[in-house]
Amino acid sequence: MGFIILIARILVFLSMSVLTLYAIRHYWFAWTRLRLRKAKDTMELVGFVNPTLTVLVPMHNEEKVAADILQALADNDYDKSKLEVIPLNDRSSDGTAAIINQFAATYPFIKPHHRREGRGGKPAALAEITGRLTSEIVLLFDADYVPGKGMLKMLVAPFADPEIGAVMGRVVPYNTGDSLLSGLLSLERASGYQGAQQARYNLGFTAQFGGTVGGVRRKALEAVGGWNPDSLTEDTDLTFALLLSGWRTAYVNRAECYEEVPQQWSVRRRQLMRWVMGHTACLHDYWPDIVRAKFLTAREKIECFFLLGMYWTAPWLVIGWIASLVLFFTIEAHYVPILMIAMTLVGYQLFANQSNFLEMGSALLLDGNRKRVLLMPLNLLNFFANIGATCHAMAQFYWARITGGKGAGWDKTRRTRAAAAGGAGSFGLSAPREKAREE
Amino acid sequence: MVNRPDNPIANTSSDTGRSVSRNFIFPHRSVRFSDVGWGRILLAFIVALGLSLFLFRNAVPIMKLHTTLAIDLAGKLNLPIIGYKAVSVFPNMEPAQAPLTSVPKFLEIGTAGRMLWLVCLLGLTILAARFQLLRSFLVLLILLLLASALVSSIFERYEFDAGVFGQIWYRQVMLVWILLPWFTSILFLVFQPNILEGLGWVLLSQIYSFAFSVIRMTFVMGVLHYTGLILFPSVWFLVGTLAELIFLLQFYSISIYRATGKQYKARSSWVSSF
Amino acid sequence: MAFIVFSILFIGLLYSHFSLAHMVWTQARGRNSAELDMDYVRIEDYFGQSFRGKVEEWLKLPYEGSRTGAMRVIDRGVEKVIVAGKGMFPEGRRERLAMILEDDFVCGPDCHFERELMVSSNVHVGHGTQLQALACDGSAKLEKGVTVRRWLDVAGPLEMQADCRVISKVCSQHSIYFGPGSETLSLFAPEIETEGRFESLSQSVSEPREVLLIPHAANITEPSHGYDPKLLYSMGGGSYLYNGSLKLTAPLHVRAPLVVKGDVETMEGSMIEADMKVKGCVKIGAMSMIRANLVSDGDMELGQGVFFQRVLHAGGGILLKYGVRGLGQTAVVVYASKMLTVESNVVVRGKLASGDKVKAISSPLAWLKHPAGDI
Repeated sequence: MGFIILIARILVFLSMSVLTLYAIRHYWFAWTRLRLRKAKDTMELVGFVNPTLTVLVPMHNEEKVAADILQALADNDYDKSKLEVIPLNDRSSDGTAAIINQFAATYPFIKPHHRREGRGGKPAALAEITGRLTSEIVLLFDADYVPGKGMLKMLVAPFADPEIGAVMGRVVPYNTGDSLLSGLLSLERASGYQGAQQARYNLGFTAQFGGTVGGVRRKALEAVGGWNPDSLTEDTDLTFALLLSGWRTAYVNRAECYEEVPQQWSVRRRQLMRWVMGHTACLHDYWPDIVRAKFLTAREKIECFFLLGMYWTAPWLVIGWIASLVLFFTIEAHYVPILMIAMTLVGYQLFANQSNFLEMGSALLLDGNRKRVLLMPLNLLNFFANIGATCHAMAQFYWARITGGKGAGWDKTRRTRAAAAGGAGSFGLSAPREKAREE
Repeated sequence: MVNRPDNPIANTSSDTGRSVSRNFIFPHRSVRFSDVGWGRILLAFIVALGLSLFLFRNAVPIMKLHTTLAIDLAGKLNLPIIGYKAVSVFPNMEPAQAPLTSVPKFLEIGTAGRMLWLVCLLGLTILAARFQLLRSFLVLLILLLLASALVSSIFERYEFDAGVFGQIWYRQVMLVWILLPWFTSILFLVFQPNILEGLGWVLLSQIYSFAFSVIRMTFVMGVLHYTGLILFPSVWFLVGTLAELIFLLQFYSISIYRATGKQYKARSSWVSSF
Repeated sequence: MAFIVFSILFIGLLYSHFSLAHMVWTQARGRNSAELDMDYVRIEDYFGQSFRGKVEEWLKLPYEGSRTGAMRVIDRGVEKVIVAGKGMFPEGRRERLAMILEDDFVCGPDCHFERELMVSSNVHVGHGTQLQALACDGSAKLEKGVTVRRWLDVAGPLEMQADCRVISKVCSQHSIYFGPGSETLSLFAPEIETEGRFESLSQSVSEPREVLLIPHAANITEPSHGYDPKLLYSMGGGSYLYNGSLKLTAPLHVRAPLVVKGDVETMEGSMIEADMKVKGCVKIGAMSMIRANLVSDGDMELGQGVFFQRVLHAGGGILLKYGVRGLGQTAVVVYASKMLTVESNVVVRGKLASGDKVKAISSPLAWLKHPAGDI
């Protein structure tokens, strides 16, 4: 019994330490973001940096959303003589190919690439096309995203800096009213982008490339060996591959783009589990290189570990709770509350998917979106749900590593947008817009 | 670009765009910031320190008042209080008086109590099956229910009386009360545009935490008295520190709501259907 | 029984903490976000264009007075707008209404115009006058010490004499003369110049005898002129990273994209042909040529007579010294997160912008000693 109590005490202590460090990190981020006087702003360069540009849109059975993004890209204000849009049709079995071809016939700068064989999944599709590209910059949008007219210019502006290997814009959910989950995810996104991404960038850390609403310098991409088709999170993988070669990722908070967030927990759970496993795989792949990296300061290296190890917070919280429970039923009961309360206080700080509520509140304050703020208490549901999914994904990941299993494969997030719905906030095109076609 | 109907600023037919004679144009949200001066930070620090010290020095009378109020409430609910027990809360602090009520052991729990446990278990299971978003949280509660029943039934001689509960509770709330000003002064005082309002939120949080604790403690004592230990861990998890977080979150969300209104006014708030 | 009732009330109390959230969610259900302006495109003369658009709308509104008369008043409900032909205002005049002038606008010193002005022809503003904002379709001249509380948008040439101050943006579709002591947030025009423009001396770059090449030739292994070849790493993709500072004693010739982890000081007559990023501060020697983008996290200083052709972007302040020229094939841009200081005889075709302010200063010494020779 004494041994069990000792172990439980050690676990509670470790859990508290890890969670406290993360809580401090996020308070620091929130503070930094709120105190921002002037971000490293590249908005003043918009329109003055016009490299040749390829926009890739990976698509797999995207007939519900394909026309929206292609129309949005056709409407953008980038110099069309320097632009090519490549819808990357990855073995779609629905009407995606037909929609793409219709757009290609209307707009000459839309040059489709239809994949009919080869390994499936976005990373594999990207890996296949990258070798054929010739433009200086490659931007990426998932098919459910709807970029605004001026967005491409905003995203290429940071590439005036030769240190920038990749760029990331801000993701804003548009289907916030479709379900409680999507409403809560809009809070998380605000916190993650308006809060953490901007803070990290301002603090001199590399921003995290999210694989969409962003892009990469083609030469930098080639320099690090292209996309990693084996990674579940090829974006995180690329962020660190670039960083370790001396390239940075920029963040453009003003480059806001609508996305469709999952409406059902089952969809969100799969998405989150993919992120957790991919992210944690990056931690295992890159930690030796991070330790040895010549171009990173000690501070940057520590932040890299915080970033890559962030999903470990959920298991640590659960481990802490279980250890506290063990102590609760033993003679140690008298010591439990102080530990457990302190742990709970710091543990609950990370109550969204990697953000604390000061960070979330700060982001919402800056966004000026008043009513949405009041949803915050309900995010507790999301917090517990995230913990469950993260722990499950972690268990699956490490089980696969121990047993030498394959682990989870790439899983496409299911779209729910209704084609041609035309409701408020919904785009729902199914073909090129008539007016645009006439032009 | 002349008059784009979808751009509220450029659109002269919308309320937002009607007047161009504004003295100040609110910056886009991507470059907004909160200009917090060191004076505000110092004030927050002083308030947090002052409140914490006040609570620490007056812990005994505060806990005494807490006990008195809890006993009064228990009396109104016909919850039998069989006495007091002096329990140590922190080293070098005078012990608190924890109210005592009888706590049945596993075999002493009546049929109603066991049925309630079963109903809770079934209810939580059904909810967990039905609501995906709640599942992780409910599974945790279910595990706590099962663990408490298992431990209570296997270790029949396991001692857990209301005195121990009182000690745990006072240690918990005392720690929360002392730490709370440090959290609330950051959350409310530092970034709230109006200092007095921020101060109000800090004090309100402290008072509410006290009052809420009286109610919660009485409720948990009742649960202990009627159902012993079998529901206790789940209930404690639910209405322990988590409850503190819940009220804090609500207060925080309202304060941010008000701060947003003050900082950016209604018309310059970013348009949203929310 | 009492405890059961209490329990129900207690659950209600717990729920009440979520009640506002629940209410908001009930209201919002089924209504999606309209947060973003999907049609937003960044244009430099947004304020002027937007105001002109509004003026067009106002002119369609009912008015008092004759359409052909000297003056008429448009009642917008919230405020009145004066429409007149030519506007001549004596010294010290204070005007509280917005005005649309279909001819010239001339005002004496120390006037105060509290609302926006739209002028279809030329503008002459007396010294010390305060304006709210000005859109002008002709040319404009602002005498010494004029303050514009918001923006200035001029179709023709704009002359801002000494010590003028525009709080927000200044745009001209033709040219801007930015007088000494003047300050603003940003200037945008096909040509921006400061006082004492002097074109007869050409700022040509002579070929120096000894040049430090980056990337260096394969046979160079030893440090020289403040450059250590061992600190240069390939990032791949033809880009290089120098893991230290460069305080050079020979002119630099950058031939490939370069990131320098420290500070940079280059000698006179350097050539930067590829994009360069400096993590610290950068000083470019006089008469150098920058043909690519130059970015720094710290302060940036361009020596006398430096030519640049693309983007200058600094996380700190920027100083453009006497005789600097920003003349690219397309518009160039200079942006400093902190103050952007521009000395005399600087000409930039494009934009000067700052997160703090752009300020022109007089550099009288430069008149005595020009980088290309004594004047």
